[in-house]
Amino acid sequence: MVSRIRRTVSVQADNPRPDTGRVPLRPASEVMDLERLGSLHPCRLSFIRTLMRKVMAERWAIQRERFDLDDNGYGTCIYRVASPTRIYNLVIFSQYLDPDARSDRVIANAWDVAFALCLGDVDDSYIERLRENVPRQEAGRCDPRVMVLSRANRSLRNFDSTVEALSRGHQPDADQLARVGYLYRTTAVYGNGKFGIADYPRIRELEDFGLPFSAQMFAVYLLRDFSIRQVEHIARCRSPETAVGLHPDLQRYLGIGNSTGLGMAPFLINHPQLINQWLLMRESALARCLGEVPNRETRERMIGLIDHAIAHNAETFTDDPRQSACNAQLGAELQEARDWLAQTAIPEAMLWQALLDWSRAYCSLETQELLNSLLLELYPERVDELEQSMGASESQDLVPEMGTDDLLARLRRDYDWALNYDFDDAEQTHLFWYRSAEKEEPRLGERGVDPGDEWEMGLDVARQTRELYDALLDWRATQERSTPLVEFLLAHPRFKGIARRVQTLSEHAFGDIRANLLAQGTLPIHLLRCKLAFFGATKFDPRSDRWVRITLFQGAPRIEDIGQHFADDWWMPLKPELGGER
Amino acid sequence: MHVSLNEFTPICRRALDGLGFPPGEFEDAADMVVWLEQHGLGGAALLGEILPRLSGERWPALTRRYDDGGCVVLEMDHGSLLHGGSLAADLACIRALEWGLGIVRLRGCRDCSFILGYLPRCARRSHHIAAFWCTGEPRRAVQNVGVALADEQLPVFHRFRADGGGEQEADTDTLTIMATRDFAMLPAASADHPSIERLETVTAEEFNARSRRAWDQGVDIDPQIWGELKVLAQRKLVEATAESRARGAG
Repeated sequence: MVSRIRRTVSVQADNPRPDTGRVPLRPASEVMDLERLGSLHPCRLSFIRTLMRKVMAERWAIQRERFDLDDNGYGTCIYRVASPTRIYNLVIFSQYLDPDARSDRVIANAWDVAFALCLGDVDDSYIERLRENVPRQEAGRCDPRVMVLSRANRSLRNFDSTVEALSRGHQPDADQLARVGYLYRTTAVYGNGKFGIADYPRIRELEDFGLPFSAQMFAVYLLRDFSIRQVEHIARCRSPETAVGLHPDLQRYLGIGNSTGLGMAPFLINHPQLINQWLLMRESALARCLGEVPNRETRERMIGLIDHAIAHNAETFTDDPRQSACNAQLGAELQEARDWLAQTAIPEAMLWQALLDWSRAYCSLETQELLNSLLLELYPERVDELEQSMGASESQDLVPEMGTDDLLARLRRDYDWALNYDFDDAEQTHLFWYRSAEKEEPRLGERGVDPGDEWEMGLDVARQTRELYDALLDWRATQERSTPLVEFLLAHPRFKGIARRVQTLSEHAFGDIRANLLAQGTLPIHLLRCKLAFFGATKFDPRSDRWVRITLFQGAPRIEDIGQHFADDWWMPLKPELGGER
Repeated sequence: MHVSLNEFTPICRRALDGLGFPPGEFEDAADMVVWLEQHGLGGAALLGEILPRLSGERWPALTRRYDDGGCVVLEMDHGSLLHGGSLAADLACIRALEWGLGIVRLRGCRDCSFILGYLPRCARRSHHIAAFWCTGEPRRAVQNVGVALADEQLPVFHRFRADGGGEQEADTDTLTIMATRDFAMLPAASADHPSIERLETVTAEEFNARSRRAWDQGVDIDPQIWGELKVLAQRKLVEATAESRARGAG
């Protein structure tokens, strides 16, 4: 009997605030700490988890409509996708790339593959238009039928060795695959109107991709299948007699990599209402789960999840000393958490809150936040519905009638963290953010050393807040009374942006990251990891304190698995044991 | 040049930032430009016309000439509405809260039509708000009226002549903004009044259709204007040095 397809319509509500039950949310002072945000792990609400649940539940039909590759894997591939409501096509152009031009940085000009996710079917003439523009990426122009534009490079560490192994009739070395986790690595996945492609409001109205970044994540998911089919194809062309296909377990174990740098940092500052919504939903989910009373089965399940996380963490490799230390500490502390949970005599009604309190007292931020993510796995019926509320309406309207004294009070109440910095201390303004002429990408400079601080970007929320506060105090002294804010701004228009931000975000506790991003020692990588965790990224591999490599979709079902049983437990994959199948 | 709205918005913002508009103001001014373009009123072309002039104007642009509480007269010294026009509309709104009706007259104000892009934001805050200004041929005044009703997403825009067929000195550099929360502001004159020659009415429904089209299909911008905006946007880009490139890799 064919079971009925469960439709999960993805459309955004505007900034909903869900009921969380008897447990209060954690305070913003805790949640919005920069280092804690930089310790986040994926969870059930991460965008690739949400996407896979939808694709599997709705049984999207995905076919390789065209696979015209030469013996070296160069050519054109088209995936045709039928959701319950729409047809989409992913058009991939694979081309030769001179090894000297190969780069995993966003500043590259050429890539091994370039691809576009398009709305509707594509005919030959349209494919030719795409061929003229998609491989050029930022230098090309696309049209609103294109929803996502991206590119990727082969992994030097994995691609050739995988082809080589398959062509000789062997499976690739799982240990080596585990060290990297992918065959291709993207550097940018563009949506939202970039270079002439569809504006987000157009996509938002689609039931399939209404949630943040879901179209971008889906394009990456299809690239993952292409990466597997391409290595198999090249191996077959190289040695038709001996070549074998990649083992299905290894296919599932492979994800897609991504390199991300400072370009992502301004997003977190410039979209505070969206960030607030993401964190509000995660915190709401956590509060709901903390309010659940565990039984023997859920406690055992949590112990099993911790065991699984320990094994997954042991297979996470990075050359970065700081992250290596974090991973080592995570592994040790997870073991302690497991032992604590197995032995504690705390009554079950208080167990989850006690676990949270214990981890706060004894564990690193990484461990605390991973335990929180694991807790969310126990109660999908309390968590998954929140995925529909990850979108946000983003408009910051001035409240011109607000009294200047009221704004001062809000600053003291909600921005005390910013007012505590002493900006007369040179260490607090050691860094500045600027946009480079080279690629118009955000960069971080040292004040007084690097050129460009007169053009610095407005990511200095803490300093601007302090300046607003001081100016309002001066205004109070000269006016000798509180006035409507607009009167102050007519005299001091340069404070309009920060005043409006404070007014808006004092109603959105999780919107502003509570850190001075100019301070010496600030680690921008914390900003990147926060956003990447919401994407669903794993295997965080920092290449410096300013850019990071990650993996997406590792462990996810293959497109051949769509329609099969789906346990939604794929997000911390373990290296498959193939036995004698090498 | 065909671009998406989400491309046009940041280029306008960065161009006005490059021109020296303060934070908050460059976003609001750019949003007014984009609003006009998105709703079929030629925001890009208007901005292109005034770019050379904008770079020569000063901040802050507003001087208070008269203020009796409910009525305020601000002098703009022949400056652009993009320079602080949004604050003037906000001022009308807060005076309406206090006095029932808030009237702000901006004298010496150019580029008045950009105010249409800000009226919906005032309406979003539950104000009824209307803006009036004259354009057109010398001595044949064309009256422009934009009205946004409280909590409505889009305004209504009228252009008409009300000179009874005779000549009338047109005051083409004053913008009047009226705001209230007490009653719905509607155009005072009906379409069939003998003294009124209605030239154009754009309804909220029509604005909505234009907006949807722009979101779906993008908008066409004169390549020369796009190029000028790019040049202005690049004013705040910083050239890398070998040392900064080594330290600041992203």
